[in-house]
Formats: sequence, structure tokens, C-alpha cells
Amino acid sequence: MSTIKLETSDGVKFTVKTQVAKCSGTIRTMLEDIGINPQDGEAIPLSNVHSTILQKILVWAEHHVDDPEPPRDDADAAKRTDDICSWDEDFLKVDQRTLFDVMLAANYLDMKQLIAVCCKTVANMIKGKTADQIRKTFNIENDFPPGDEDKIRLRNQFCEERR
Amino acid sequence: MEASRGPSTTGVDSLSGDIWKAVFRYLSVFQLKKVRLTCHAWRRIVDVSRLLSDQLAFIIQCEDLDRDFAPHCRLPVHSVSIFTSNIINVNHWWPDLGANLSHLYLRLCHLSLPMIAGMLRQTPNLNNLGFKDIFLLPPVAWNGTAVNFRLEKLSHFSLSNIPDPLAKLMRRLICPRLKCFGCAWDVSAPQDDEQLIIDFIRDSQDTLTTTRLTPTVDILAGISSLNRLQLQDVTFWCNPDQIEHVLNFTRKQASIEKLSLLDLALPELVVLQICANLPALKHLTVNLDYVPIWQPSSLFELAPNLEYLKVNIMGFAKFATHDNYREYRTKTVGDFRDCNAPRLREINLTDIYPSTNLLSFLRQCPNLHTVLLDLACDDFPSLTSTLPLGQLRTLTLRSLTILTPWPSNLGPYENLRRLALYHVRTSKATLTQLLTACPNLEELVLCWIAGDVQVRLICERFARLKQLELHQCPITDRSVDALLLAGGRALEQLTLHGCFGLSRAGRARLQNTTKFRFVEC
Repeated sequence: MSTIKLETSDGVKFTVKTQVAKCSGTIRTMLEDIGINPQDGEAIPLSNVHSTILQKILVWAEHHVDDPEPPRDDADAAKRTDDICSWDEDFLKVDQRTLFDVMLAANYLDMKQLIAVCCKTVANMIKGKTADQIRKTFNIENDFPPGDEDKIRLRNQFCEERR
Repeated sequence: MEASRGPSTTGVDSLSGDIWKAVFRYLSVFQLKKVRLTCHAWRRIVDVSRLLSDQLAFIIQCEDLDRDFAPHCRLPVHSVSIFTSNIINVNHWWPDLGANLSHLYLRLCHLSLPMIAGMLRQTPNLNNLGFKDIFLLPPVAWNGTAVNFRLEKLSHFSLSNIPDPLAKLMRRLICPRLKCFGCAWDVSAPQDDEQLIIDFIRDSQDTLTTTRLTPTVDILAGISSLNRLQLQDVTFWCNPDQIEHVLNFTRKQASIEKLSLLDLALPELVVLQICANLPALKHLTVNLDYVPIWQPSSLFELAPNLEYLKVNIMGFAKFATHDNYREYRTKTVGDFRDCNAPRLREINLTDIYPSTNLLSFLRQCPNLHTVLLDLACDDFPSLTSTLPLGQLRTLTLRSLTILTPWPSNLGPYENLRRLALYHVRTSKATLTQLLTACPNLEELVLCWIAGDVQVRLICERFARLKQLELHQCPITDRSVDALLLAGGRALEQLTLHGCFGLSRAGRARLQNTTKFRFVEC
């Protein structure tokens, strides 16, 4: 089985099965379109990803390497956030900073499935909360002047949901 | 260790707006409104992404839109509807709103041609425009320089009962590449011009895919002769005199995938001929003349690609008034022997009393996920075992009585997301059994049968319930606490129709909650 080398922002080198590395659209493009030859033994530089995060992402990719392409389903199903598989749920039970770092790296590496599952996880952290609770969860500072929130809420009311 | 992780900062700022947008995509309107209240940065992401504004409509009703009027709406909405208003002068606020607008609908409005031309000029992104019941204010003429523009992005246009000069103005402003055209042609309104409607369709015949019409015989003949017209989605509201013309029309339009024929009852043979004319048919909505036994096997054979079927038997309904409706409802037996519909996803049967072979038919539709049965029958003993509830996502039952208890050994029906029971008579025990078997419900509609006990069960049991609708249910203030509890979880909208058991105080508690949207009719 062929392998390639990846080098993270902090200079750590990883040897990875080519098939696993190809879960990343970015690496796949580098290998297939730009024609970087992994046999040369030269590591592909991933200047935006730290080694601790890459390690975690590789664990995910290893687990999901044989997943079939997700079906293109209707918009209705696409909005669901309760369909995260239990392995992913456990995998993403990390502190918020790590979760965000994984999302950033997944975004840079163009891993659509991982991004989707992270987005659903974060969406679940927002669901069912008031604005105040959301601020607490994500440590957001309320930068609206006092009273402004009520004004916005009032304006929101004049708009009806479209069918 | 923390510091060695490189440049990423803690907190929400570390993720770009695009990533947050991808997260917010999973939220509903209700949740997006809350996100908008958290901070400036998130408000900007929501507004710029149009995730929320695309789902909101701003409605103006019963107003004189003159210099004194100012709209309340400051969100960059995407859709505006104006009802029963006099549009006199909107120049001071329309440009701000119009810039973002893609949908505009006007009904029962008085307006002048120069004013509407000016509004449309400042709505460059408009792709969906509808006029219904419009009356002109002076001046009724326009001058050439005021209309030296085109609605470049307009793809959906509908008109109904509008004055001739406005229709002529619209023909000038519309680019001849509409995708969807709709017109309710009103026989009693002498100002509607049939030729004008054919002209609109002829202009866009290369691009038009969807039409919704109340056609006259002349309109049907006119559009049947358009050689380049290739429609995919057609809805007609027509009368029995037009059956032959509709049939002719389907001969010319073999590209049709969706066909809805409303308002008239067709002989079964005509429906089969229509299916034979339309090899690509996927969606069919028809009313059938009364037959004692309906055997749809030939229909499925002639339309093998059918994904959606809605059939309503129009028997003696014309004699029925509200009071004697049930006794005049006809009993057509649906015999599903030899039916084969591999692609069927949704079936909707009204006044068709299924024989027991419905079970084997539904079972062998691998893609079926939505069923509506409106049976008008007093007991349908095999119903409970007939429905393949394990595979359904949506189930609606109307006008029937379930006497047999729901088998407790069946289920859980984990796929079922929406359950609606209208005018279903059953025992509280059977209802409880059914609800218990559907753990993942997100939408629930109940009519008559839910009392306080059931509401408490629903609120406690369904952690994912987003919408609850109760019609004429005998609930009292004892349900309020349970409902507010559900609001703390997933419930986003509570709708009550005619539930008069609530006291004013109980109602006020529901109205004042910010946990969900409370709608009462």
C-alpha cells in the first residue's frame, strides 16, 4: 500500500496511507492535478495545520476511509442534525477550541464530510438556547447597546415566515 | 501546551464567516432569529448570508402607502407582499427595500402605472412577481423614458384580474425568458384578455417550464399550437367542457413531468389516456369520477415513473353540504391488485376505501415515505396492520375511526417525523399506543382527541418535537406547564385552533414565552 508524507506547521512529519490522505480534497488535488509525486519522499507541507490537530483528523479519516459518497438528498434531510453517528459524536467530544481547530483544518484540507459533522455538532450547541445562553456557550460578548436587543426582537416580529 | 498550538485564537473569532454560515445553515428560522440577537458579528453573518431573509416575508396590509408611511421592517428581506393597500407614493423607502428584493406580490391594491414602473425599476433583482385583483389610480398612461428598462432577472410571473394597461406595461418590461407563468383567468372579469395570456406564453415559449392556469378553450387551443413550448410542470383549474382540449394539449406536451388537474372530475379512461400521452410523468394530481371499484394497476403500468400520486374521488360531492357531507360521501373501493410502482414516494388518497391488498402494494414500494389517507369510514380494521409505518416519514389520516387497538408489539417507527390525525376518532388508549411507537416525531397535528393527559405525554416523550398543532382539543391550563417545558427543548412553534379550555391567564403565559412561536386561530 502506497504512503505519502505530510508535514505540519510545527514541522512534524506524518507518514500516511495515500488512500487515507485522499479524504482531503486539497491533498487529492495536489496529487492528481498538480502532479506532486509522493514517491519522491518529499513531504507535502500543510502550513495551516498543527500536528496535534492533524493527528486527530487522521484518526477520523482512517475510520471513514471506506465511507460511500453521501447521497445528494433533498434540502429537508440536509437540515437534520440528529444523524451524527455515535463514533463521530464521541470523536467530537472535545473542548471548544479543539473543535474549532478541527473545523478550520478540515476546511483548509477540504474534507466535506468532516466539516458537515462538525457544523452539525456546533449547530446542536446553538439549538434550543436563548440568545443569552448562546453567548455563554461560546463566550461571546454582548456588543449591542442596552435596549437594542429588544428593538431587534420587535423588528423581527413584523416579518412572517414564508411557507 | 496551549501556546504551542500555533496562531489560532480561542473563541468564535477564530472561525471565518463562511464556516459560521455553514453552521447556521442547519438552523431554523426560529433559531436564526436568536443567533441574530447574540452579537454584531453574528448578526452580520446571518444578514449577509441571507439564510434568514430568504425565509422571511414582509407583509404590508391595509395601508395607505403615501408620504406618511414608513415600513417597520429593517431586515434585508427577500420577499414583500402588499395586500389591500393604496400605493400612492413609496419613493422615500422603496429603494432601500427593493435593492434586495427577489419576490414581490400585490393583491387587491390600487396603484398608478408610473408608480409601479418606478418601483420595478428599483427592484433589479426581482425574479418572482405576482399581481392579483389590481385597480388603477390615475394617471393610467406611462411615458417611454420611465419604462426604458427590463426586469432582467424575472423568471416567475403571475397575473389575475389586472387591468389591460398594466398587462401591456408588463409585456414591455418582462424579458421573454420566463420559466414560470401563472394566470387565473376570470370569466366574470371582462377586462382579462385571452390573447394577452397566450402572448405572454408565446413570448417565453423557449424557456417556459411551468404554468398554472385557469385556461379557457381558446387559451388551450392557442398554447397547444406553440411548437417550441416544452412544459414540465402544469397545473390547470378547468371545467368538464375542457376535457377533450386538455387531452389534446397533453398529446402536444410529452415533456410534462408534473400534472395537476384541479376542479374537475375525470373519467378513469381519460386519466389513462393522459398517462399514455406523457411518458415522463412523475407527479400526478387528479380527481376521478365516481366508480364503485377503482383498480389503479393500469395507471401505474402506463406511468411507470410515477413518484407522487394524489387521487380524489369526486362522487356525489356536489350534493353534499357541510351537514350531510359524511352520508353523501361515496365509497369507492380501491383494489390494488397487481399494482407496481417502484418509484412511488408519496401517495395521497381521498374517499378511496382500500381493500386489504393495499398492504402488499405499499410494502413493495421501496421508496414510499409519505402517505395520506382520507377514508370517511367508520372502521377500517386492517388499517393498523396495513400501513408500512416502519418506512414512512410522514403519515396523515383524515376522517376515519380506528376501533381496533394499535398492536403494541409493532414499532418503534423510528423514521416517522410527521404525524397528522384530522377528524380521527379513536380511544385515548389507542392514541397513546400509537404515539408511544413513534419516538422521533418532529411535527404532530391532532384534532379533537388530545386532552391534558395526552399533551403531557407528548411534551415529555418527544424530545425532538418542533411543531405541535392542536385543533379543537379539550385542553386546559394544566397543559401550559407541559407545553412550556417542551419549549425549553426542541419545540419551536405551537399552534392552537379553537382550543377554548384555556383561561386568559394560561393563554397569556403561552403568548409571553420566548421559547417558541405561539400562533392562535
